[in-house]
Amino acid sequence: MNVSVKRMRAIFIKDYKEFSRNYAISTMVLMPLFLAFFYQSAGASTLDIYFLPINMTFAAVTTFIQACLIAEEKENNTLRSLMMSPASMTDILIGKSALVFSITLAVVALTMIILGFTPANLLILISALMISTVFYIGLGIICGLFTKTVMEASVAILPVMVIFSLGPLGRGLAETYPVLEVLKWLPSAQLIMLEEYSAAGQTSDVGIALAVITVWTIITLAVASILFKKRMKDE
Amino acid sequence: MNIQISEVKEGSHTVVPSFSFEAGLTGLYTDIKRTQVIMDQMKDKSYLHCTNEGLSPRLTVEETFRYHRDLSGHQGPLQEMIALFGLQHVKKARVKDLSESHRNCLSFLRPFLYSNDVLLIEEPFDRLDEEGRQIMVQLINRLADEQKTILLLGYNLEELLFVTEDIYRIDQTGFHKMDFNEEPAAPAEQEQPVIRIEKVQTKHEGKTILFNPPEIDYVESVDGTAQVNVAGKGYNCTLTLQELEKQLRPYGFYRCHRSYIVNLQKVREIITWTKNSYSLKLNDRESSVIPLSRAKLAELKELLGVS
Repeated sequence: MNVSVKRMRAIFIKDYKEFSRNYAISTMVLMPLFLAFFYQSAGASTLDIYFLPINMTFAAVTTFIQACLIAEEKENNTLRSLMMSPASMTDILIGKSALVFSITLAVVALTMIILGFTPANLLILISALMISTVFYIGLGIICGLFTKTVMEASVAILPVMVIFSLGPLGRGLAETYPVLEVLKWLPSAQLIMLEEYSAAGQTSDVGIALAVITVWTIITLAVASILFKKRMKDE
Repeated sequence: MNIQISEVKEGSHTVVPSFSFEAGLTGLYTDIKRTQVIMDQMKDKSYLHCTNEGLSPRLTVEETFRYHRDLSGHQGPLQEMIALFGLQHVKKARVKDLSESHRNCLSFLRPFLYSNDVLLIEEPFDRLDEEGRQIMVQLINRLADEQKTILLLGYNLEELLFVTEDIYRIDQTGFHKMDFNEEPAAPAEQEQPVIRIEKVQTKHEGKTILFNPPEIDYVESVDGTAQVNVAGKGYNCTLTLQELEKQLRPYGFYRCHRSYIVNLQKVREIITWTKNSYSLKLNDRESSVIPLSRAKLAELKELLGVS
């Protein structure tokens, strides 16, 4: 597979231009920042509350924008020409994700600064956040491929937001409803647990949490690329 | 390199017969259904360019050019390429603000950059203004010069003729090459048309009135003079019934009775009274009924093509 930085850069620049000119999508990045302000002034102290805006960022910014970028290509009938172009699937997927990846990291960093949240081990948390970002990008690609317009994409991210962003809050109810125990295996819940473990210095548990997130990411990426390949054949 | 089109049938009806094309620039004069069938077939083998393909509306023209050039890995100065598409004066405009013709020209950028050996273009000159057409002709010719095989599909023959004379027409039996050399020769041989106006001259209250033959419903003989009936009114004619019959025959008139000539175009009904007695009913204003000789019935039916 030939990977060309030039092509990826071309896709990146084009996506950046489209993103910055489409206010319906670009203003979405402000949402987690507002949320962070809100929690900060309400007096956030627990990890659950710290991570709520961060997990919200992943669903509302990462998945949403990624889904919109793909869906917009479909809406404008330009996805086909992208697939007909000499760019390989890797070129397209990396080029299309690079923008969202950098936006997400910036927004998450800002959120953490606003919240005044200092992680126990910055390096571990950053790597966990990066892997999570890739996971949510994969989700966004899947959402984008299943929808036809930006409008549909914004509806499609709602389940993602409910399950992955708000899911960890359900852990509190796990004592009453043992079924909810499964929620702790969500990548967003694992992210919180990872921070808990790393604050407590349980290195082996940190490794498990990191592994769980990675497995989620690999599965999502695999599904996303299979769907994308199928889509390429259909065109 | 040949393009192969295989036969497609719909029941017993052949929609597209099989055919193979030589490399080069070829036009196909088809309808929309056959276009669809051919495009479906060629999907894997060539680059299809359809009119309904989009552009990113928020990019400017220049950004679109840069994006597609970088994506295709094409080398070459950007401004030159924009000029080639005739869009240099709108290069800072957003795609969504372009005129339709400019946008359609810009759409052609993708096949221009991405197509490999075989390119299929649907309706190449659809919805383009005069300037856009000229640019499109240049672009297609340029691609043809690059030794690409181009198939143009369209249902507007004139437009296909802009770029190629190699045009095929499709019907059930096969692809037929259209010959355009015969046509210019034909008008030269054509003789000067002879202008001939046949008017039927009648007298009415001392005035001479002229009728065009198609106006006449029927002619009858009253007291030895021919009376021309037009719109329910009779006008006396100086000619005899025989002379009138001769003059009016080329206009679809028929002597249906010893003393009647009828305009066959106005016959509505053949009325059978008894086995041997017939009349003709006309669709003139009065719905006149005129007699028909038994002897003339067979010949009349033959003339009218009825049984």
